[in-house]
Amino acid sequence: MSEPRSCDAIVIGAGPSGLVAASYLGRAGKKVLLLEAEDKLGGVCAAPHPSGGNSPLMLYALDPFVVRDLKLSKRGLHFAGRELALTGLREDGKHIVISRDVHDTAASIALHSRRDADTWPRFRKELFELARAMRPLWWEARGAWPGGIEGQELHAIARMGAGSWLNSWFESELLKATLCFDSVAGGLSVLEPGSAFSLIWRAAQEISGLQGAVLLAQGGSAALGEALINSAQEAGCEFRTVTRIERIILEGDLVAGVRTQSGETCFAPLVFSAVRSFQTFSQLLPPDALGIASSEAPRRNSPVAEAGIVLTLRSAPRVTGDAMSPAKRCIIAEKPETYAVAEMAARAGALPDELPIEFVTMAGAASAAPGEHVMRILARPVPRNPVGGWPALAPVLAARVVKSIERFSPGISGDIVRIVTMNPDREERESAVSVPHMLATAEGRVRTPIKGLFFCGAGAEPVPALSGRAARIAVASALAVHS
Amino acid sequence: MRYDAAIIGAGAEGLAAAVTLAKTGRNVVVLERNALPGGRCITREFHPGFRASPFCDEIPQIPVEIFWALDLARHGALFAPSPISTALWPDRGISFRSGEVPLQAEAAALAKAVLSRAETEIEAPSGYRFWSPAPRGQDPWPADSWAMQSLTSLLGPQAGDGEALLAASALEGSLAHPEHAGTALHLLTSSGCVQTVGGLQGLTNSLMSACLAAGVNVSCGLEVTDIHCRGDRIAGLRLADGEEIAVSTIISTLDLKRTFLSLFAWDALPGETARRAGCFRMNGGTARILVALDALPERPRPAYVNAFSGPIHLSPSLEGFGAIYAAWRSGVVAEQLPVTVRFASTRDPRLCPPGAATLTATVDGVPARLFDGSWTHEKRHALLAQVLDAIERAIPGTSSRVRACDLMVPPDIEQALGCTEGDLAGGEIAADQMLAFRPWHHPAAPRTPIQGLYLAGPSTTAGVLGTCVSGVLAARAVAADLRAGALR
Repeated sequence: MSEPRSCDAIVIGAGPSGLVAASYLGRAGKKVLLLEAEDKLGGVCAAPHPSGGNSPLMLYALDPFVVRDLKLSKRGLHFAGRELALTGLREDGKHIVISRDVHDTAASIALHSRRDADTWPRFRKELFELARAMRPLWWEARGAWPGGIEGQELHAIARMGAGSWLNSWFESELLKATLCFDSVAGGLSVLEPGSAFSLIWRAAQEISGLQGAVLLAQGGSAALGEALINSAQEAGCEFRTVTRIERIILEGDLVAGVRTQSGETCFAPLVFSAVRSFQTFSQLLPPDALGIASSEAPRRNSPVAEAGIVLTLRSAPRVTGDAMSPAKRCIIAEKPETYAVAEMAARAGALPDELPIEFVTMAGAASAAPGEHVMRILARPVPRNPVGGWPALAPVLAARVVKSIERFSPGISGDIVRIVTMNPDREERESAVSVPHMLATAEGRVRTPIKGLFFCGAGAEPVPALSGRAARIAVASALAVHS
Repeated sequence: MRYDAAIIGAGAEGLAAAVTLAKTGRNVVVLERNALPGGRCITREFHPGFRASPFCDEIPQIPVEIFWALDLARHGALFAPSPISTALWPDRGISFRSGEVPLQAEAAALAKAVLSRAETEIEAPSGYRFWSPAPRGQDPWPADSWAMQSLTSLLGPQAGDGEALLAASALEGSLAHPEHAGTALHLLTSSGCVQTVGGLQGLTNSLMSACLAAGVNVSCGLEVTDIHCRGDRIAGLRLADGEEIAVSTIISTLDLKRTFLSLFAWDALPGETARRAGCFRMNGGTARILVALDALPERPRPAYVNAFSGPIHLSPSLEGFGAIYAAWRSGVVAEQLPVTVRFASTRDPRLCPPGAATLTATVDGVPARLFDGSWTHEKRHALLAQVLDAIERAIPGTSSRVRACDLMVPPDIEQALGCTEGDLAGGEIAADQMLAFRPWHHPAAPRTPIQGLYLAGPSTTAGVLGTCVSGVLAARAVAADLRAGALR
């Protein structure tokens, strides 16, 4: 057993969030120790990904402050696509293409409903006004709930399901179904409160400045991982891989340090956990600390999840009546009710018959072998723990997804070189979404009942997302208290 | 004769509103489409010698203060004490007295608090503009934290038979997926329900007697077909026989959709009002079966000797509700339906001939519109057989004693009572359609965007949690506005 050592702060988990937290701490002049259980840094952004290529992860609006403060652009982070138009597919080729251009969007909606085309600019304006009103609460350490008319309106929308909120605006089922895909992240049903609010969260991401709501890093997510590792290194952080934490050491209700499974002890007044809150509470804290932590009910994962699939194709995919360039984010879902029925099936442990699907293709941009094209697919809702288990279900899911895409992109199944599925039971990310969590202040989400212990992972975001924002706020909040 | 106010519907809410207004010296007429007053609170003979309340057996609580304000005791209303709830499975059963379970007692207290909160809301600010929400911060309503919780999370992680029974009584009459956020609110609606002696007709009789004493004109067999507006004010109404009544104040006890989407000319409503009324979600899915039995079946087990005096939920399971709700949304009748059985004659022997028994069954998860067309004779027969079979399995010996039965599916209930989709709850109970948000998010509760039109009945929060409350509140709002001259 080696000598106990001490530092200013310990970060548990060297995924993107942990790296951001470590960078900020290092830049504030703290002596930081970053501990990672795996043998490489980067977490979900580590290269190479088990899929053989890069992680299919999409980056949902990296916090612009993080990009700026950590100078990620100078560290080789570039975005291949800043704007991916949201596209609702129809077999006859009359797709709805929702882009940043209000008039183009209205024109494509007008093919389905003249009334909805007229409503679109109003809806978009209101959506962004509400999103802007919510930003202080979500973006800033000490943001408050918006007052005034927006605050009242937001109270009402927080109680609404996405299905009924969109119903109150639009009549076209395809338009509503296309917009709904973003509302069911985190296992919510379109019938549940919170799903309408998820759309506002999404809009808030979109106006966050530097990037569009959905973007892909050039060179895949590994490029982000590298830029973040580079930033943390430059900030003077010390890394330790293949180091599992056994316990977080407490002194009363104060954090004192951590003990690793190899028996090493490290003391620090600040500990940042990028692992899931449930895991942090149930596994890392000493059992007698539960009295302190019991006021914080650990958030569990929802029984409803999403599954990723990566198709490697021989040629650039096309959809009926439309070339895939510029890149688009395509949604296959008929109507909002499709999500409602699918969610209930997934909740009961079955793969839904009609499965809403999102797919993105980016010819050339995605890091595929020469001549190959990668299609990233997200299917949700799917059961997290299906009857019969994922190993049996994964091929069924892949077949169903390919068959579904084949309807809009005839001949695609003959082009497939490789299919890799990413089952939700492997996912380590935190995913349960609830309205109280979305409405909490940013500080409320990163703080724990234990003084000095902070959450900095994706789970501390209103909706789990890879943005680095929670890490930035956690560090700011910790330094404000402990300086 | 000129009336100060017309009230549409002579149900408990309409009659309570009429009595309350008449007592302030106003001249009131109640217009009822059916031949007899009472709405859902009626009791009729469905087979020679056998009587039952066809639409429901229990009604939500009547707050003491309103009970005395309406002087119901003097007019003969007798309330039966709160019954025992039972859940029966083929191999076991449990029962408990209402109020015995802490969560149910908490729900009952919250429901009371919500009703008194609804009462404070009738003091609307003068000169309000309807669709612009008040910028002042509002205290959250009681039970507001339940709006974000699911029924299962409220019942706790170790759900057993007792939790299944609580869920069954919460979801009776308005089915939902118990794992969805917001379904905890259903517990409010099941708490503190009461019965009246002589079936629910007993309540109607005493309200009618109160109306008579207060000088209210209750006209049955008169259907209101149109409401006329002048600008955004009420100008009068027209009856089905063509008669016009000039009146500037109307209280509608119909549900929100019926009120706005069927009584107004299509272009008479402000666009926003029509749009919001169109978006209001109904949740009709309840069928009712009235059964005349030759005799009471044997009690299943000595342990449940009291079971026949209260609601008996048949084989409830928490997972089952989710599957049934999913099927219902797709327009399919699930194989296992939630059935609640009441031996009405056990509590009230006058409802049937001596020695015989009446049974009522409330069946949820019955789609108003089936995916494969309308409710044909065959489909009704299949549903009836399915439910009787489920009853026989839990309470053996029932089916051999059946003398006659009468089935009503949601479209029948819609036709009989005029409630959209046959939804007696007046609209889905969900976070965005309950408490401060029912029917709309607006502080001026019984008032509507049409000046002079007031809403009582199940589409308001008070109407779904209490009996007579929404009517009394609407009448008080009318009286206050008439006094203030806001309607002139």
